[in-house]
Amino acid sequence: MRRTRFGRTTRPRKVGVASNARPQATTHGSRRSAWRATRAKALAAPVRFALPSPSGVVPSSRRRRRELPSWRPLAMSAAVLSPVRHIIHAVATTVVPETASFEAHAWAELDGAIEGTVAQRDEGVRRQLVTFLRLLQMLPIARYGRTFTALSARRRHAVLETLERSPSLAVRRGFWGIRTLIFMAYYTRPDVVDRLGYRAIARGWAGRAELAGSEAHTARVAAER
Amino acid sequence: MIAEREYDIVIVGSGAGGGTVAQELGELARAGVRILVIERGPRLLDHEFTGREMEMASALYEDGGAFLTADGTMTLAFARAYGGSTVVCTGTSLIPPERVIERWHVAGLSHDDLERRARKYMMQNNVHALTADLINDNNRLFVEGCRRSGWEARQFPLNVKGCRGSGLCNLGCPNAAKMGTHRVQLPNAESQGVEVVTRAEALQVADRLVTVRVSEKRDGEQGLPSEWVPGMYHVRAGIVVLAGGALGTSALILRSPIARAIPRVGTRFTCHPAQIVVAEHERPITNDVGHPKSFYLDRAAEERFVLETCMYFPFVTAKSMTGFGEDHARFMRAFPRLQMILVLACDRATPRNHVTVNAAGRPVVHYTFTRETVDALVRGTRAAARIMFAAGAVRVHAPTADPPLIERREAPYVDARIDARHFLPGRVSVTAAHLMGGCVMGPPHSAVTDSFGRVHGIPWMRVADASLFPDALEINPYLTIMALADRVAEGIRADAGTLLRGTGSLGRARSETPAAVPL
Repeated sequence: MRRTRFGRTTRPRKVGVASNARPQATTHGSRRSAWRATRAKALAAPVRFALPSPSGVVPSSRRRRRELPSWRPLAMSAAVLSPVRHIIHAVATTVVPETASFEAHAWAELDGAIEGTVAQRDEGVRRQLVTFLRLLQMLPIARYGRTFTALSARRRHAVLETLERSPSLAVRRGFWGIRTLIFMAYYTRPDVVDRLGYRAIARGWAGRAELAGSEAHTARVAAER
Repeated sequence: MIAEREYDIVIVGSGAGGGTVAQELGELARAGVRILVIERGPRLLDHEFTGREMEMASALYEDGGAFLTADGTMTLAFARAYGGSTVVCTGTSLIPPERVIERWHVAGLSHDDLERRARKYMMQNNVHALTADLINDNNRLFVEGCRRSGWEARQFPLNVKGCRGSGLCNLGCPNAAKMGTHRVQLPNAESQGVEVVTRAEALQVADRLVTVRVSEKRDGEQGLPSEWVPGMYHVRAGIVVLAGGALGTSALILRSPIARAIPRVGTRFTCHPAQIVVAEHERPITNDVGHPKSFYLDRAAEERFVLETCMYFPFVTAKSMTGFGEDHARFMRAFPRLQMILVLACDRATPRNHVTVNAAGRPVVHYTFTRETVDALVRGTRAAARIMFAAGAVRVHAPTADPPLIERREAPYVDARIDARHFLPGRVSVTAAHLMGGCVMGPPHSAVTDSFGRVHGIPWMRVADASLFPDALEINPYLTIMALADRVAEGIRADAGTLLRGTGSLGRARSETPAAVPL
């Protein structure tokens, strides 16, 4: 452990981020056991939030931590959802059946809304989403002999219900996440909100009275015709 | 490069706590004491409250309203804006319950004192009950359903002035009618000489020093640019008041070197976990017009739940209901006929529920639903369903029923249909907006602050937000936060002479005022 000029000890911020966090093989256990021990210790340690030093000089210890190890993958952009877009569409038509009548531009808008939201999340969340969707695509093969996108609507519903009730919290969360994204992209569409009959406006009661008067007038005109 | 700034008093956060402290220290500002409020969020202009769901959620809420607990089973909703969460709350203003304050058992804290202070802010914020002509069907059906079920619903006092019934409170009032700190306390403070800097995030707090990062306004973003030039700042002050909310204040301390000197920060977190029960009626009702939250049923003492009327927007409603597919979509298509009730469980502080920070210094909330909390949600959901059927609902969607849709003919079997065994975290949606605890009041050996928000062992640091709460308050915390912040300000006024000696206006030469950012 080294002390920086601000009294903080230097510790690996994330296990595996810096090459100097890797433990050496010990005589008392495997390399994996030592690695697990180091990880547990690092996770249990209080985290220090790194700031640039007032002088602008970066202490050598922090310079080392900023170097990415060679095994760290490149950052993922939101466009990574392109390969799983067909799976998202299949999930969407099951979660919100009305999307089955979407035309191309509506699908493009749904994709844009989902990708825009996902782009604001960190890389780990985006990666989890893609992995979940790829696993979902393969999951039905064991039971139905087909991928998710090749299933009928009824079987897709059954597969998703199984995920929703899975004994694994990670699986339930994964489904809840994609379900929420689809609900967000669909139920915030102005045409959908209008079709639902949700009409909250800033003018409140006065606006509702105006609207009622306008609708009554429209109905009268239609009746006269 | 880091710019240096010097003040006498720095307040981190501009919500119910920070805004109140800023106003109450206005007399010091008039006397020449230099006071700064640091707010992470933007300052929105009146016309920027558009009422559009996604736009306002992104502009006002942390993580767009999608901040999740560590295991992803609960959504925490809190704002970051000039005015804090008072910009997006529904303005319900209740005096803290005497039984809760007594149970907190904090030396020097009495219910009478809190009530007296709370009533002062009820006057300031124009708190009153709406007249009958402004109550919509969603609320009226709740009152009628309670009456037929043998309960008496109470009306919420609200901090509104000129409410037009837009129903858009949770997205920021588009009519400037909500009397949050952004409309009352902060303007009062600024008129007395308190300075406010927005888009400024407090990164760390050290010995009378706050490190601040000021961000620039991005293209297309709402709100004004920061009052300071974007960049890094060291802000020195004789007194530092932390009022960033239960998560903000706890995280700020935990990621700072000073955390070593303050044990127990982040512990005793509570949040009133909540679920929405939705009912369908035969005919359209007024639900998307009128104040959404005008009545409540307080069963906290007897059954540890509170029911509140509520009305949410299409996306929030959809994601809050369990299930998917045609049944879910058919229920959503009945939107003009939907009645909603919010079920809040009065949870208790437990060792497993606490706040930490991740490697980036961001708050992480570890929350496990106890058996008692789940049972309270179930009892509340059953009560809500009975109330809705008594009011004439044809079917009720209950998250803790499987299948979640209960038809009217099943109303006698509500207790059997709604059961704790159907509470599956990650399947049912749970949300919380009353975030409490983390820097609790109490004695030095078991708490972080005293009853005036003074951090034990650190006389220059104060806490003035809901992180002071030793346990769940069992009602909306808005007014209680203001009453506690009033006490914190009183303590600062009493200690200012000692703590500010040799600083700012009481001795040391001050640095020049930074150049104003042209707006």
